[in-house]
Order: sequence, then C-alpha cells, then structure tokens
Amino acid sequence: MVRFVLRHLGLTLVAVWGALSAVFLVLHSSGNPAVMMAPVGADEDQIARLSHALGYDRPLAEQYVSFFGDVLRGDFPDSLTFQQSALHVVLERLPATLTLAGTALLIACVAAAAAGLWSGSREGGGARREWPMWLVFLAQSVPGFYIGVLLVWIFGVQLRWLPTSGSEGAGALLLPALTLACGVTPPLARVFRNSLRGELSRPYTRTGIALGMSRARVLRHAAHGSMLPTLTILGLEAGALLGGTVIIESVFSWPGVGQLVITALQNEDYPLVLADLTFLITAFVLVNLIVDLLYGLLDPRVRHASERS
Amino acid sequence: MRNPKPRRLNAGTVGAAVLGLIVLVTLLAPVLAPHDPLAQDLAHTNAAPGEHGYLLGTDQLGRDLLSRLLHGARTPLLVGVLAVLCGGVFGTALGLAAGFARGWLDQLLSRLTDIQLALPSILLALLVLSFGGRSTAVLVLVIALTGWPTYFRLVRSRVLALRTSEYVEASLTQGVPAWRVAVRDLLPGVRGLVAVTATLDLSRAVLMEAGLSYLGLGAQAPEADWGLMVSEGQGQLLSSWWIAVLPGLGLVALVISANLLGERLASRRRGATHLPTTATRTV
Repeated sequence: MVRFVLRHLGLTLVAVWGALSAVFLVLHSSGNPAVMMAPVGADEDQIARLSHALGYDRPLAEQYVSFFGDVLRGDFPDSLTFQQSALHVVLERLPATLTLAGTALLIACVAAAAAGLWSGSREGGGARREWPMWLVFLAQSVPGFYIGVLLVWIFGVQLRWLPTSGSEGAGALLLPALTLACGVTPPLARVFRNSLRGELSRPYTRTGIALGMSRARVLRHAAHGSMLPTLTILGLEAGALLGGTVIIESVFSWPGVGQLVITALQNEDYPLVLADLTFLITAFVLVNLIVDLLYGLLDPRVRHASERS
Repeated sequence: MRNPKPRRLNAGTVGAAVLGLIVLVTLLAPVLAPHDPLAQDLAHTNAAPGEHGYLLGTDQLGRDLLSRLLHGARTPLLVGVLAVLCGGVFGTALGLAAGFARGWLDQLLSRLTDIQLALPSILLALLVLSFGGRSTAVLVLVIALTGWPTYFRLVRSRVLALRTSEYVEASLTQGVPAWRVAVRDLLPGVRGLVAVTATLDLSRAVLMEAGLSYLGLGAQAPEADWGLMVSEGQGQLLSSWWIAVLPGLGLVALVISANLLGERLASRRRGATHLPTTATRTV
C-alpha cells in the first residue's frame, strides 16, 4: 500500500511539474508577460516597472525555478479588476463551482444508473430496450452550451418555470447542473450498461436464475459486479466535469471559478486568468490523485497490479 | 445477441450523407445564400422567420439568418478538418516512431501523452488562447494539440504489435532502411485505424471550435459561425428564439453525422483493435 501511494504521488508530482511548465512556457511565449499583466493603456515606463516588480526581467531559468515557489505559495500578481490577491478572488468563487459540479455529478449518477439498468437488463433488442442509449448518444453529440441555451429557452423563457441565470435559490442551480450532467452521463451510462450486460451473461447469473432467485436479486448482484468499471469512468469524468464548468457557468452566469476565467479574459485581467487557470489545472491533477488512491483502496487488484509493474 | 447490422448500416450511411450535404452546402454557400451574410438591414432587425421576405428571419442587426446559417459551417469545418489533419499527422508520425524505435523515445513520448491526457483539453486551450494570442492558426493548433495523443496511443500500440510480424522482420533482415519499413510496411497497417479515429476526432474538433467560439475565443464577430451565432442570439431568446436556436441545430446535425459515421466505421473494425467510441465531449 505504501509503495502504491508513493508511486502515485510521484506520478502526480511529474504531472504537476509538466502542467506548471506548460503554463510557464505559454506565459513567456509572447516575450515579456508584463505587457499582458499591465493594465490596459499602460505606457512603456509602467510596463518596465511592473516587469521589474514581478521579476520578469530576470534570466528565464531563474524565473522558471521561482515560478514553482510562487505557485506553491499562491503568490500571483494582483487582479487588475478586483485590486486584490488573484488567488483570493479565485478561492472566493470555489464554493459555487463545487456546488454546481457536485449537483451535476449526483444527477449524472442517477441518470446513468437508470439508463444503464433499463438498457442493460432488458431481454431482446430494438427501440424498447435501447432508447435510453439513443438519448445518451444525443447528449454526447449536442454541444454543452447549446443544451444550456435550449434549456433556458424552454424552461426559462417559454414555460417561465426557472430563472435563466444567476445563483439565487435552488431553482437557479437546476438548469446549469442538468446541462453539466448531460456531458458527464453518457460515458457512465454506456460503461454501466455494457458491464451489466456482461455480468448478466456470466455463469453465476444463470446459477442464480436456476436456483429460483428473484429478478431483482439477480440484478442486484450483477449491478454490484458492474460497479468497479463504472467507478473508474466516474474518476476519469472529473476532467469533463471541470472542463464543462468553464462553459456551462458562462452560459448561466453562474458565479464560479470557470465563469471567472472568461470574464477576466473579457476584462483583459490577465493576472486573474493566470491564477485561475493555474489553480484549475493543479486542482484537477490533485483530484485525479485522490481518485486513483481511492480506487486502489477500494480494489486490492489495482494496488497489486501497479506494485508488480 | 441481436444482430444490429441492417440498422447500423443505415445510421452510418445517413451520417455520411448528412456530413456530405453540410460540406456541399458550405462550399456552395456564396451561390445559395439569398443575401450577404454580413449585410445589415437595420430597418428589419429581429424579423421572425418569413417576415419581410427573410425565409428564416433576421438577427439583432438585421442580417439574413438563412445566409448566415449557410455560411456558418465554414469556420467549424475548416478549423475542424485542419486540426484533425495536423493532430492526425503529428500523432501518427510520433506513434509510428515510438512504436517502431521503442527505447527512450517511446518512454519520453508516452510520458508526455500521459501528462497531457491528465489535463482537461479546454483548460489547455484556454491557456494557449489567453497568453499565446488568438487567430485561426492558433485555434487550429490548439485543437490539434489536444487531439494528437489519441492517434499517438492507438498507432503506437498497433505498431508494437505489427513490428513483430514476419513481413516486417523480413524487410529488416534484408537490410531495408528503418524509415522505409516504417513508411512502406507499417503505415499501411495503421491507415484504416487512423481514418476511423480521424472521423471521430472531427466531431471532437468541431465541438471544441464551437465551444471556444461561443466563449468568444474562436471565430470573431461579425463572422458567421454557428457557435458564435448561438452566443450572439442567447441575449435575444426572449424576443427572437430563432437567432440562437437555428445555428445550434446545424452544429448538432454536423456533430451527430460525424459521430454516426465514425461509430459505424469503428464498429466494423472493433474487435481487432481497441478503438474509441463516440468522441467524448470536452466542452
């Protein structure tokens, strides 16, 4: 177990290093980053002073090393629009994003379980069995922002059931969470359905049926057996979820970390963009680590396979 | 087991036909469009479909929506196809090299794809578009950049299997140079695989272009671009739903047809090789 944890910690460190290097590389690709970090309309003198204050006039290698220290300390240039620590602004928006992502994940799990059970456990073929999978295919082929716009149009504008944007009350959460869930559900539902069908064709199912076990009980055993592959996909979905928040939050003006990047870009508040993206990327790698560790904890086979290799 | 062959064949054919139709209409847009997609008619803004002689109405600046719809697939298709080409060629070449040469090159490239696949592509795209400049070329590169690892992984694992086959061994023992073996013996073996992957990758690329254009980071106003048009029309939903809803339908048709075709091609080849199913939506 210790070796398993150490190995994954090592891989995560490599990934964080790679990701931060990419951030550094892109940041410096245009020459002097101070040109972007300065307020709009700053003259050359101001840019030079800012460049010096932020250390952009030092040798690149030196900046590269200190960049990691800065990121780890959360030391980013101040946000131009908020006039305060950029990381502070980002962290203030975090609860809204977590609420949205959590709700979406919950909806996705319920929807995937329902679709998978329906399509995975039915005999025969055709539309009666496969219609949830067609919905899944559709959800996968429609851009997330368009699903959002359609939901706003139908439920917000036509029916006037729910607010079209903002974050006031539980009603405001429903549409963005539903939209985000549309992006997360399809892989989950597909994997759950396929592994459920796999489990139902295995000998233990036949034995159960032959022994006169009820249909519900057979299904429960099969569903239990399908949990593991489905959970793996759930872990991989963290990326889709996080990436989805950037766009979906913008569609609904949901005041989260994702919408913050886009508004900061529109306001040309590049220090804030930098802090936000660096935070999101690092957070994502760390979430992946936690998922991997949990997965190893749940399934000893994963642990041992990785220790052998 | 059911035998879904007849219906799947239809789905694939329908996908190919719709995709072909969209490409054809886009190419012929200058001839087909009744108006200039950028021409404003400020006397008739937000005209409903059919009003004032505008078949699908006009947008908030009085531009003919039908003409804009016909032109609106150009950027997604152009950016999508170019990105798929760049990412596909790059990923295939590196996958070929890594699978054939193995050793440190393989190790290095494989770790690189691991790191990249560990990052959500939309964040990577935002990073590059924020600090690396915004232009169509950058857009193509960024979408290609987030797509190449898929080709790399598939081609690499296929080449690893192929290089132990007898005809490759035979070429090598006869002293044929390695690059020639790679191009003449191994490349044909991965061609079909790459073609299928590219079809599914096209829908991913189109989705990404649309998403970034929606956010204002892709196509720029006043250009007619389906993703951008949805974003521009969103504010008009209350009074004029058609401005946002119709361009989105175009996007859906484009992505569904590419996915149907890709899945059909993939299901014909599945079993022999591991292929991705429908492109996972990242935006």
